[in-house]
Amino acid sequence: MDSTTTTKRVDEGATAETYRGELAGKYLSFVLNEEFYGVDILAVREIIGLQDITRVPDADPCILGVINLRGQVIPLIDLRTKFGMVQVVADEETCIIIVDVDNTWVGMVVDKVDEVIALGKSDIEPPPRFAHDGNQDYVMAMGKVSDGRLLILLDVCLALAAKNNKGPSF
Amino acid sequence: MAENNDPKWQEFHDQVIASLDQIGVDLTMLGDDTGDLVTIVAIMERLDEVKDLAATTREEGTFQFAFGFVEIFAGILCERFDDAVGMLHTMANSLQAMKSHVEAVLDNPASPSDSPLDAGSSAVLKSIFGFLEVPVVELPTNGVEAEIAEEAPIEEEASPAPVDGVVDEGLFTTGLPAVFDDVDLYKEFAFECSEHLETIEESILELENTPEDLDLINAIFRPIHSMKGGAGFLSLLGMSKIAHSTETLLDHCRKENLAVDNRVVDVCLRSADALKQMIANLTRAVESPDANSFTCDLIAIGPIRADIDLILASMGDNASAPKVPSAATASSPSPVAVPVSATTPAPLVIDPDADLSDEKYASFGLPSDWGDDDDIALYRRFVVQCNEHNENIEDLMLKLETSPDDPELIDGIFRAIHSIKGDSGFLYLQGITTLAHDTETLLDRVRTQKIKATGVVIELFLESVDALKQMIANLNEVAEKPDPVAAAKTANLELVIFGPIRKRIQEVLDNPSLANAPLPKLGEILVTQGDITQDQLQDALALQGAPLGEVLTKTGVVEPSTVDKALKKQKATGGGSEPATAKAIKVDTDKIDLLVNLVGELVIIESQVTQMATQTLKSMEGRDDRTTQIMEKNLSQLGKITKELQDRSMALRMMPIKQTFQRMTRLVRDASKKMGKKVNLVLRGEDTELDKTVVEQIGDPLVHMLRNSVDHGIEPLEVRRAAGKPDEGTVNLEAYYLGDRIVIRVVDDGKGLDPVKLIAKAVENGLVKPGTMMPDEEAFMLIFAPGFSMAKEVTDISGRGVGMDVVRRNIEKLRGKIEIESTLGVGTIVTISLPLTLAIIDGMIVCIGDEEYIIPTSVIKESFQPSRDAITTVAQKGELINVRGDLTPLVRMYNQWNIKPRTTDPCEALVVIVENNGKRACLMVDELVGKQQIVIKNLGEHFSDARGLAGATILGSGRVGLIVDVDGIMRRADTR
Repeated sequence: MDSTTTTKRVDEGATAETYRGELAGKYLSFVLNEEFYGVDILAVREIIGLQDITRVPDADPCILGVINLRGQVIPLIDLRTKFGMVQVVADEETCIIIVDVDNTWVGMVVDKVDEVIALGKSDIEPPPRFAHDGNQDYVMAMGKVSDGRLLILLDVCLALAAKNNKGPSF
Repeated sequence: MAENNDPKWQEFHDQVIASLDQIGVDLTMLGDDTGDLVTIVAIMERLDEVKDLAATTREEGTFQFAFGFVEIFAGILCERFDDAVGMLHTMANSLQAMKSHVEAVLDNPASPSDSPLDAGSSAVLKSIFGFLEVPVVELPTNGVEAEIAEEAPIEEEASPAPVDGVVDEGLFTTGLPAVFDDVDLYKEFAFECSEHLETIEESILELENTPEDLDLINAIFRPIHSMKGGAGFLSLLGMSKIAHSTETLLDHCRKENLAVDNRVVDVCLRSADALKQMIANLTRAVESPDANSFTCDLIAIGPIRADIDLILASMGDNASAPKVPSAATASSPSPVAVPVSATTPAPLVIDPDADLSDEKYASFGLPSDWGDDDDIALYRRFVVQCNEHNENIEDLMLKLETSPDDPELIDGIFRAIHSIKGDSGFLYLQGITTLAHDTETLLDRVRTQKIKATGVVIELFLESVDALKQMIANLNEVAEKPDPVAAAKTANLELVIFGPIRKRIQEVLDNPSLANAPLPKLGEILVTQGDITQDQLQDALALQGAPLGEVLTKTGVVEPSTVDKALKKQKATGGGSEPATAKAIKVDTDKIDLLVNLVGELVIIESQVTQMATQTLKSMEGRDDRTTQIMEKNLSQLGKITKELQDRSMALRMMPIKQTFQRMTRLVRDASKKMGKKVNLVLRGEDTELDKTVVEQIGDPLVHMLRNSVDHGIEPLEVRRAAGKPDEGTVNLEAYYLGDRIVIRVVDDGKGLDPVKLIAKAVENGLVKPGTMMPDEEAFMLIFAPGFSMAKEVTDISGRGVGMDVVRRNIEKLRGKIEIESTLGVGTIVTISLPLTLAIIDGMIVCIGDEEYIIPTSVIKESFQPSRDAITTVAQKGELINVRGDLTPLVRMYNQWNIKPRTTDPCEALVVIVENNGKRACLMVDELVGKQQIVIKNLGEHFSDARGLAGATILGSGRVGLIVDVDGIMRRADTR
């Protein structure tokens, strides 16, 4: 895990222009509950199929457990649970995207991996603000894809980092 | 006076005069500041240049001057003179004499190199050498000058044992690093020093108890001396100075001029601390070169040196004992004994007959002067380094042969040779220094492209390296078997070896065209050297094929006995027992960790393979006996090797706990002084080895525990006396093995813990509810609770209630256990037990429902299926199992972790009895799967709050298995 974190982030209060400059780039798009999400391709380490998961007692409900990735023990986060979506039975398209979050590898379970999409500066839109929705914190921005779809650009640090996914402390 | 028109001399003249002018300017800049290291080094470098110039042109007078001046500066750096400023002035004044001599050289048409020194120059030179040889304080300068002025030109009196008529200029270099890029040298030095400092500190502390122990003083003296020498050699002025001051102080103690008292011990400890700090600075500076770190040295040592001077002054003799090279002492009159002052304080013992000329330790250890373990270690290290350098050189040389113009190669060789020269000069290994110096000179010519690196030159280089190797091998032999006779022989051998090579190097230097000649054959060389005639060579060539000795004997060139002797010598010095091999190498800990990790993976994969293979073999039973047998045999062999490999690689990480323990000696001393108590710390089992990480991390807990013992355990003097205990409290710190764990105990004979008071205090601190009853052992454990403090007020040693919590946390982090036994009024025993290694443990895989967990085998006592009548339920206290009379709480693991079990009836399941911190519990599981060695992996931050889990591992199936933290699970069960 010697790679440096390249996760895209935007400081609060940044102007729209720097905002767009920072976030333009390539994104891996995936499907979750029929919504399109994008994760910075530079943060993605690999994409693997569903594995034998070891449940860890007392962990946060959105943490499915740990998996063995070539000798490394990697925590696995279920984005459906995390975002409060309904649970579905995993199928052959369900897979795990391994993401480097501040030099820690974390896996996230998604319904389906789509494709790599390049977003230019003009394709980036600031995140919408809805009332009473905690999940929008994980949304960095929206990306406009040429086919008209809107890509929800995920802030992996916020969504996956340990401090935001801890079990209840005793 | 006819002008000398030889351009060579004109060039020499110009260069020397230019250098001298620059030196004059530098000297003016320097003024009287003998502490201005940068300028002094600059001047010395220039002087070295002049000296080299003089050596190559063979201009005796100039050489003598330059040599003398260099020696003066070397003396100033090593603080050999009481009147360093005076010496500077002498030198500044002599500079003019040197200049006029150089002018005279140019004016001497016939043989410039033999230009006699005029009377003035001789006198100046003589007085300089006089300064260098005789204690300065005793020498009336004018008298000597007058006396010597009449004498004929100076002889080479300062150069011992010239070889082959060639001046031993290599010997005279003070080995100041001309370049600061000898980083390895500094690193090595820093490493050595930290080792020395460990010894020093330990010895000083011992000395406090046995102030009369001369051996101890010597034990401190030696490493300090080595450090001083090394520091001086590396131009670390601050270190050299403080080491020197401390050495002077110790010298007086050694000669019993000064009694070892508190002041001496304190100041020694402070200088040891200062040296430590400087070494730390040095290490930092070496890693990121920053000259400022060195100047910091000077600031730090001022007060310490002042205190040392104060002690010495109170002794009635604040002039340091004259430091004189041993060689000179032999011929010069013994210095006056230290004068006894009328104001001498009482504790002083002055022996007027003290043999001050015994400069055995003060002088650099000549190889004939073995017997000093420390010096031998120094030589051994030198041998190891040189062997590395030589290998490096050889490698580069061979590359140089193919690309003779590569400046990087030459620089690489140059650096290595330079290091060898410097080190050997410091260790007074004449032969090596001289040969290295010559080789260096030749290399310099190659570097400046005055001589081409052709076959002849490279051959010469390789021969030099071979000779150096031989000398180093000899040295190593002597270092292994300290024996003056052997040492003498070695010295002789060195001369034999390097004589001819030096001669040839000199030839090439004198006549660069030689370098371009085709490589002469061995026979031709012998002929040209006049060792054999052309005819003899022809005869020998005709006979070639037979061994050299035989050929030579047959042709009657040498006596058979001579050949035999030579052969014996060859056997004795080379090959044979091969003592030249290094016994230790330094390895980066990262490399070891990587190895240990890989071995860990190997262990896992081995168990997987074996498991599967065994199953396969079972299913194949009866089909092919032979294959099965071979497979089984190989599998068991694989298992054995893997186990062995694992043990060995784990052993690489093991180190003695000594270092950590020794830190505690100092701590207890300081803490007890502060508290005004007398405490004696007794160390036992310092050589016990444990994992490096554990050694490093056990330090902090030990600090808190020992502070606690001194602060709270050991009573004040009056209380101790009233209780009939000895005035001095005793704290034992011991380490020993117990099974696969290491036990560290802190035992004090203090007042002991009072459970009643502890509980009362805990209630006061809000840690337990009023009216709580608990067994004594549990009450003792209260001291580990965060926020618990017995101290009425917070002192600077303890009292905030943090320390013992730190202890518990750190010990737990190391998967250790902690126990307290205490008897009121008698003392307290704190026992820490730690696993030997951190990475791999033996684990029992158990099934709870469908999930697999691992319980460390070390905590498992037994496992069984309980009978129904053994289980009792206590109202609201949970279930207990009667295990042979002991009522042990039952922990239903599935309940703890919300697992769907195969059965909820303990009588149908299994219970595993585990013990932790003296408490037992029955963990209810569904099945025991088997034992396996497991590599512990961190679960990561996502699960840092999970209680009852110690980590994870990869199981044979490839799945991740979770390791049960028995302590955590027991606490958890308690709170539910």
